[in-house]
Amino acid sequence: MTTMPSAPTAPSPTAVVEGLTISYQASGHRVVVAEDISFSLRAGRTLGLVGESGSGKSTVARALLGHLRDGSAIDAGTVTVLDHDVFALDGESLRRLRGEQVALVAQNAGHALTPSMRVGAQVREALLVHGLPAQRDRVEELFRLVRLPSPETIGGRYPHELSGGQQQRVAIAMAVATRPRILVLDEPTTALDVVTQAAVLALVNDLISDLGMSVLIVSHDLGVVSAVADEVLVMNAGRPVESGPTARIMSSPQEDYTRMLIEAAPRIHGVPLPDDRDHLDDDVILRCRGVDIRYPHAPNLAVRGFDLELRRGETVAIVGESGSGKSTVATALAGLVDTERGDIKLRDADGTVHDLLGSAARRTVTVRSAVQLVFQNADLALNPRRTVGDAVGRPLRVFGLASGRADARARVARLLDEVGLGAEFAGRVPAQLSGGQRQRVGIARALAAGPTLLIADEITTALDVSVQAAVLALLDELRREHALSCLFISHDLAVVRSIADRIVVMKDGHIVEAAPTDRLFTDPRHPYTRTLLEAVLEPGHTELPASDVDEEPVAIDPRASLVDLGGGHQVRADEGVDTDA
Amino acid sequence: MIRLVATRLATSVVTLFLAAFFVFFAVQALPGDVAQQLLGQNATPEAVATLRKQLGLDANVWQRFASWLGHAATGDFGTSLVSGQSVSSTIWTAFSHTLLIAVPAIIVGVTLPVLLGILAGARRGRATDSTISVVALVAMSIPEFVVATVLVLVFAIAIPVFPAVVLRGSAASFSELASAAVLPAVVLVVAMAAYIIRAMRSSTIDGLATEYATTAELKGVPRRRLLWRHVVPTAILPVLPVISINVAWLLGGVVVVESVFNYPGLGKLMIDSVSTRDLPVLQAIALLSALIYVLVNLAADLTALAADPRQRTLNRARRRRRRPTLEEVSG
Repeated sequence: MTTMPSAPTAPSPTAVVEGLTISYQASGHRVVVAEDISFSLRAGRTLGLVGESGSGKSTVARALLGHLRDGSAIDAGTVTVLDHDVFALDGESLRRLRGEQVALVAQNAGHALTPSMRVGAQVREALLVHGLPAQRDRVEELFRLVRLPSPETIGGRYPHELSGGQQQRVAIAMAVATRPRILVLDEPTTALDVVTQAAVLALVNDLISDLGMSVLIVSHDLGVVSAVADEVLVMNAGRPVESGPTARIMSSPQEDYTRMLIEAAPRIHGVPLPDDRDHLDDDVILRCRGVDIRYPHAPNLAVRGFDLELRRGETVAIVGESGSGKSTVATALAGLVDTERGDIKLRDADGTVHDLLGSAARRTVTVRSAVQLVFQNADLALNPRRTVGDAVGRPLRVFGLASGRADARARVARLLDEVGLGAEFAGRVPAQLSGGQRQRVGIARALAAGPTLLIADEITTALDVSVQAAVLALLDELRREHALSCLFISHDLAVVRSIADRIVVMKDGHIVEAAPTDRLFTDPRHPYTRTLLEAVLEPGHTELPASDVDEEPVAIDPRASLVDLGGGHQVRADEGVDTDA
Repeated sequence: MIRLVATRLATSVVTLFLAAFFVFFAVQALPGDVAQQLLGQNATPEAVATLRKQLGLDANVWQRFASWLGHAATGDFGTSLVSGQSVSSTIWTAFSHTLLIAVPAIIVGVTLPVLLGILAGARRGRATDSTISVVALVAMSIPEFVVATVLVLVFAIAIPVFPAVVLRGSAASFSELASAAVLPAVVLVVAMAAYIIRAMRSSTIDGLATEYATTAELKGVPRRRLLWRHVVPTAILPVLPVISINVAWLLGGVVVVESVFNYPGLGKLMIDSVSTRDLPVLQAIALLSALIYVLVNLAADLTALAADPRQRTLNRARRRRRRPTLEEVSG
């Protein structure tokens, strides 16, 4: 049991959850999803529910709307919303409660909005089904409230015609349309870029104070929670771990689990930079010059004039929002998309220089094994019917690196050991592994080919923070041991800070700034880099940028070029950029 | 959007042309000489030569194709080798008879199964669902001639409400045909209903499990509205091809059903023409079937365009990131 400290003047709670235990039946035995969870929500206050995947936090949040997954059941406890036991309500009362008194904003607005309905109609419907006036100007007012661009006309668009941030704003407008007493936000920003995330959270914060709702925000990210929540409840494996005011939890956590979560969260302040790597030789293994990349039949270039030098044993991070071209660079280097112009040279372990233009199918075996890619989504990148041993052993066979079966088996065992899994994992299939373990298999498979260049494309984006920290540490260790050169693609500056020697910031297919990691954090020159830095949410950090920061245009002058500021710091000479060395 | 429709129409025309090409040359490739076969073994060479000239068989094959296609485009398929009547009018009479079965069968056979499928999906696991699913499965596994025979036994012999067969062939009057069309139409509905019900049921179940359906439910949308506004428009998309294939099959290939009921429709005409080697009629029927397939598929695609806003913008230039597959990288 946990208790919420409440000030004497605190208003009476709008929702009370007491000793809630939820389980479902799976192949003969009961699986407990949430156990003995208690909390209460008050008007104008925000509670953050924090936990890693599988902690049962979403299940608890949705119980406030009287919703359980098929096959789940309440074993004990009550959920009381506005003095009604929600699981005792009849169908019609429950329908009236949902949306009118308690509203939900789901994780991925791209999936949560009905694809066949215009967004205006979906917002109007939220009003209509509760018998509220739903004129055109009311919907427009709501779009203005969530700061959507051109609120007069955007209602006529379909969800797929909006960006991810705009979709999430529509979902929020839909949820607050009825002025609900309680707003449940279920990982509202997990699918968004950092800048969009910061803007959406700022909007949520504004709405909470304007509308005086009780809010429950569910997140795996302590940074998100500390930016908006007044109180925090930490959950682990369905059980409550710790609860209290946000500032207290962030500054002096009582439980080891909370401490671990806080430590694992990526941050940009108060963490040491990667140790000095002056020992790096000047052995450049990858050189890109003026590379233009265009997807087949696309009218615009996806990447324009990309320059990069990567030395042996160095990690370079490419950071940018979705659509910035960062992953396109990765796929082009891996030979999965053709370059239109420019020059890419790779020097392999023997010192031979290869051309990295053209598709993988036209590359020699040496080049193919020298460049290895690890994918963002390890679930999709592993064949579900092949064992881990098969997956890791395949590059050994394809590139003829093992002499015979016994040798291959031994090498697979060694690789699995190296990525921290152990040889016993060779016989398992991906379905038996956790997300972090799958990503380790992906890394082992890339290492099996004996690469010179390892490209990691958002490999930690889908992982929990604690797992993310472990995978990042593993990658750094491997880089050191194998003198690997690593290209790390990410949308989050905080994630790359601890592992990158240099950072390249991309926007709209252009490099806008490139600098050694410490220079970029201490002396960011480009406005876009600053926006990215301001958008980083750290645990204990409570300031948010403006709620329309993601819609602000960042001026990218097509004629501007990169200016060298010395010390490896380059910045694109766009408007308002200080190019003094 | 307009460009998309125009492209789709152009593809249809090309498909039809190719169909005409294959129909014509498949007939050309048949072994033996048409004139020889028509006149029989004992014909004199002179008679064969005269007939060949009369049929235009001595001309260049491309020339004949061009003129056949030209005439076909204006609806003229020549004269029947057997009856000597115009092929177009023969086919048109038979086709109108077939339509008398097919149109009601399509209207009932598409709407009813779609509704039943939605109902079964929405009531998944309950008695309604089990009943619909089991009946659909049974109907699916019985061949249509068995269904036809059973219906004849029950409704024409045990309780004589409808005629079992059409006795006067193509000379039958409209009222005779109208009552004779009921049983064949029912057989066709039964035959096609099962596939559509099953497709619609599973598609509805998938639709109800989506996040947007859950979101709509949790915003207080009543069940009925949730189903019709949020789930069905998207759930119908994967069912459209099933419907179009069934409709095309129904229009083109009611052969078995028409034979059982001795109904003077297109299928019956086709069987008769095959047995009498009436090639101009066969060519025309083949081309007509192709036309029907193309039109029905076109209609399905256009319906999909209307139902799915995402498809309308698919050809709009936009960056689509292609996620490479595993094999491309490791291999």
